[in-house]
Amino acid sequence: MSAPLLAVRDLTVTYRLPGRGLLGRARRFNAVTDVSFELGPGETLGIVGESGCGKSSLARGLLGLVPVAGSVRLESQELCGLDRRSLRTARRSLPLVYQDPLAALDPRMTVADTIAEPLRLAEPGLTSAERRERVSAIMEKVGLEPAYRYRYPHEFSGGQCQRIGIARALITAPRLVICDEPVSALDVSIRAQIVNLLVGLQEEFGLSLIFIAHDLPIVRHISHRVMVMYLGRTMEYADAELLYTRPLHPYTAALIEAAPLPDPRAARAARHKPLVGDLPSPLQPPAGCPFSSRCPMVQDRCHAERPALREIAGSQVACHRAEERLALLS
Amino acid sequence: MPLLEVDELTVRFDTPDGVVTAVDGLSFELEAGQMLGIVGESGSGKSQTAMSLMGLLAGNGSVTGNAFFGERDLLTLDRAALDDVRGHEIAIIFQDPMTSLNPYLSIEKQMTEVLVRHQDLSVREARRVAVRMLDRVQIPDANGRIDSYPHEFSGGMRQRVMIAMALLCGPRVLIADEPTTALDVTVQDQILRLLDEIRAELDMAVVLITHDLGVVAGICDRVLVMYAGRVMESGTLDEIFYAPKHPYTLGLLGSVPNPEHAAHGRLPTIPGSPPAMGRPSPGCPFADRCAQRLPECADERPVLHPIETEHLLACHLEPPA
Repeated sequence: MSAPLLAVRDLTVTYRLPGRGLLGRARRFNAVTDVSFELGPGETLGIVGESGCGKSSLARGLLGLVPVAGSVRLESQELCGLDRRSLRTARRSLPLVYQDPLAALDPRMTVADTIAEPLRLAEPGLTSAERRERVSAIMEKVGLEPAYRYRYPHEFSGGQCQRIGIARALITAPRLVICDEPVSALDVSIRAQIVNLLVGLQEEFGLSLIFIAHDLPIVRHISHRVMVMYLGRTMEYADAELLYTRPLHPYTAALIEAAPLPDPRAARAARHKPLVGDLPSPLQPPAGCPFSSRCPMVQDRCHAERPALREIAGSQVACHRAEERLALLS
Repeated sequence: MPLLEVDELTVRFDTPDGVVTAVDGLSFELEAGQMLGIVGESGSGKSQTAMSLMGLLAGNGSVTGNAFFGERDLLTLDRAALDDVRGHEIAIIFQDPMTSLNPYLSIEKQMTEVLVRHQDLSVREARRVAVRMLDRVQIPDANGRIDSYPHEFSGGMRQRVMIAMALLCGPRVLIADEPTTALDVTVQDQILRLLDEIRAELDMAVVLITHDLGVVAGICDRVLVMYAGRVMESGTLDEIFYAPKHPYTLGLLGSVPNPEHAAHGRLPTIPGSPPAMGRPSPGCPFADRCAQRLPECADERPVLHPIETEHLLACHLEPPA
């Protein structure tokens, strides 16, 4: 990989919670613990996990919207530890696309104003004619009629609102876009349209994407590398093909098995055992390996000692029994 | 004789913008022990189908057609008769268990109410039955947890409570409206497995309403594909998934990424978006998004007709013989 566009080292997101009772001491908990990855130009990193796994906190941590420790380097700039002002400027090169496209748009702003807003901040010197030009150009790129520029968000369908969100993210020509569950609120027939749009824009502009989702088949389709998170930690991190065809972490395997296939024969053939139990609360993760309370391969050691993330046959895995799985699968 | 026989069910809503048809001439039959999947996107009418069968339409809704449950037509029952059927013989579970449970009442209170109402049990007997049912849906420590309140349960556990509650009076039909959409994928897996086990064990008929073809493929016997209030195609699981005929069904199946699609390539898509309900087309509602559109599609409504014994299709590409 060439020089990374984004290099994240040991990112930890810590929230403060009120203490129990009136005089209780404030408690802290880590929504994301020691997450590291690198993202090259034109690459997509998929981040998968269930609720409470920290995937959205990770996105907010990258943007410095929540208290973080560790290091986030975008090109040559370190974002962690920046003061408020510089952070606000730096954030302009890290736009976010949200899950609920209608809720993310201001209902009282026209489409053109919504899309142009980041541009006003990033390039205040532009004349209004130049801005209009840029807005029309980006609307066309994302498949919106520039003639709709003076309409309001409620006049658009969910898929079109997501296109508006993407146009707004791209108007300042960023090199990286973070997409937090960008298709999960959309109808099935619309999801593929938005995925295709993102893939097309990536090819055209050499854009890097962080694609956060819980839908495994879509993540597999769009991502070059995939990170599986559970209770704030990285369980497995590998090339997309490798991760899906040879999942070394039992949690990755369970997620892939649990994703419903639109293929009745495969579903009948793959009568797997569902994972037992619920996701533990991120406030009280199990001792040892975070996945130990639900893992089908759990041993005594897993309750006692948290496995470190380590490199095994081209994947990074945090599991004591990864070698056994590798032997089993190959 | 089928357990539930729905014939030409039509649901309309009187709105300030005029009359909106949410469900348009829906027919299906359901046998005991069978699971029927109703698949559709937003505005397809799949949820209003469920609501109309349960007599739960909003005040501005009206319904025509028949829905025979044995001798009785569910759509013509008066309030008292409907109350006897609802919860007792036909039960429903919804997408979001938190909004269906009363946050102020303990699970015990909410579960025993229906037993006291429908089965004249004493409160103590009702509690025993309720605990047994919570146990059946695999809630650990059911006898202790029954005194908890809804917020003390996780999303998956709440959906288990809803299922237990729906099963209390031994219904013969269970309608599940997007029961796993709000759940995490590993929890969804558990809940679907549970529904399947219970269906087999109690020989219960289930209508599973979902937008997710993968969910249907895992557990249903038959599938009905709805679009803009109408049935586009219906058939056995294998007919719909391996021999789909309607361009909409084909489009839906095609747009789900699978490992055979080249990674980072373009997925096949259906252009445009689902139609607004206010302006029904005189022809096929899918016509303006259909790549194989014929001249007659715009103003001639295709009739749902059999192309195999169980495989029904409403499309001009394969008209009735």
